[in-house]
Amino acid sequence: MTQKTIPWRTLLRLLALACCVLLQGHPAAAAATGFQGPRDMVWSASDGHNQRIYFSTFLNGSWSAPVRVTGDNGDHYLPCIDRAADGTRHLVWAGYDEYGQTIQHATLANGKWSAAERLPALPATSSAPFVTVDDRGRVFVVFIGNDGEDDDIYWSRLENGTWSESRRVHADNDTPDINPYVEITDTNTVVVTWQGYRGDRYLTLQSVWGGDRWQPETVADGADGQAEDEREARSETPAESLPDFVTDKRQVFTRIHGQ
Amino acid sequence: MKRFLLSVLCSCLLLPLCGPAVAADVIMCVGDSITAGYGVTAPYPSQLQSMVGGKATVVNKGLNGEMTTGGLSRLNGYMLEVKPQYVLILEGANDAIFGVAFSTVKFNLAKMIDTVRFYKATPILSTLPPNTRDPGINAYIPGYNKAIFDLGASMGVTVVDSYSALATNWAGLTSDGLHPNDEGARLIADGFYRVLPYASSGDGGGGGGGCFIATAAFGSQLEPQVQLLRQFRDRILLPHSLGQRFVELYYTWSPPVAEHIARHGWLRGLVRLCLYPLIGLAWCLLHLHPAVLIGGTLGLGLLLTLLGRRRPLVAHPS
Repeated sequence: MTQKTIPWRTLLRLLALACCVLLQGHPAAAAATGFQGPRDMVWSASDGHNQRIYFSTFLNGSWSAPVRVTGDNGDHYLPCIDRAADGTRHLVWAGYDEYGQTIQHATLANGKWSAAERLPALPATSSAPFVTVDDRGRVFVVFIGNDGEDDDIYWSRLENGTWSESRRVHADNDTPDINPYVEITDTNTVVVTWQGYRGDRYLTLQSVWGGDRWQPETVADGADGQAEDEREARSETPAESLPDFVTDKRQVFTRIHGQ
Repeated sequence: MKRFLLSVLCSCLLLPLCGPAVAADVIMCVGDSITAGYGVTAPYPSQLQSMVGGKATVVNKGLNGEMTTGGLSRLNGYMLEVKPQYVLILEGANDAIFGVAFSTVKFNLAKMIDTVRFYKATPILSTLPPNTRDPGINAYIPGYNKAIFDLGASMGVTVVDSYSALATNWAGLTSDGLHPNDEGARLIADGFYRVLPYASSGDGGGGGGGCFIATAAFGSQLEPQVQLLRQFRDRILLPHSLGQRFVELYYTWSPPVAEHIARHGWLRGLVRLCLYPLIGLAWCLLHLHPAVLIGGTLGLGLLLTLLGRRRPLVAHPS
């Protein structure tokens, strides 16, 4: 069954973009681009030695001072964040270090960031993670995994402090599957969307969490997948409305809460 | 009958000399911001245009942020719109940045090669430049480039090694660690120029060989006869499965034969002589419209046959 989640997101983005265009140049533009509610922002930027992950939150009309979340010898890219109902933030990113390409995770609770941890039992290489937290506090992470052949979409779940083993979302195949993102729909359904080469082209595919496994993939509305568009759609804040302290705007992810 | 066949063969050799003037080729460059020209005044396609002059028109289809997935999705439309003879593909840097493995890049580039060949154009690949802007990702660039080389070898596609051309002095050739500056773009253009059939033999370099016997016979893969046979391979043989099998077979047994030819001067001359009919045929197939080819060949063959018949009548009037 096709999940119709894209129009809602698109509508919000168009609204935000319209506000941004109308208020461009105004000092209050950043605060007035339709995002008066709380939101979190994470991004990847160099500290002169390594590529780090930074965090800031938008509350009461301004962004908090950026906090550096990672500090080891690795380089960290493609961050993504979500918030549980109790306010705990779950941050995931792709780590490039002596362990290869891995997915890493950290939490922010009571104003303090936990140490970064690698997700257990990952494929040989993993990258491009996306995270969402459901209303029961279960953390779903999807990412590109590769065990030496084609890229596939993998997932893992953090529940009661334990990560599940990473498994493929879709059936085994001989073609690439890339650019995943996971979200909770208005009907509280967990849906993974990604691009997969099927037949003679890339299609936008979806799979729904059935409680104990992912349902067979379906072709999403819009059929033809454009990876760059989907990638851009992951971030909900237009680049031009980002605060000045985000000097590297290439890998920024913002999450608006309370929608 | 023998005389007719001989005449047809001769006509193949003569047609290149009397064929209609050929329109300038179109070279299409596809890729990401490196091709589009982010941060430079003259992107590599513009510089390539200066190098080839009026011999070809260079069309820049680079798109900022493009990944190979997008390149593949857009390529068919570009082929229909631009109708190029050559397609230069420098793509994959964004895939590396956004966590797409080189196996996927290789998959997508292979599909792009198939698409280019479907339209009877010649694909030319390039390795990815370094990415010192993202040090963690830069460590993986050689893996992507190895995949591109492997793909070129397995599909018989010329690979221009832009990485090697840029890496030794990357700091002086890049604007931001990812994108080449004007001089870097010039080096990329130069790499492509050297494997295109517009470079004069004095330009040195060259690549994308594979025509081992012709190279041995003519002394260099930059000789126009060798380049023509290479185009024949890329545009006539490789788009078809039978042609691909022939090329694979040829690659298997020809290197030792070529080595033997290269060592013997007299044999080189003999092989050159034997190759000329094939070169003539290759030229005709590459440059003439099929109708012109068939009509011209039959017409010229008939003419030569008639001329051949007349001579005995004159020599033996009784």
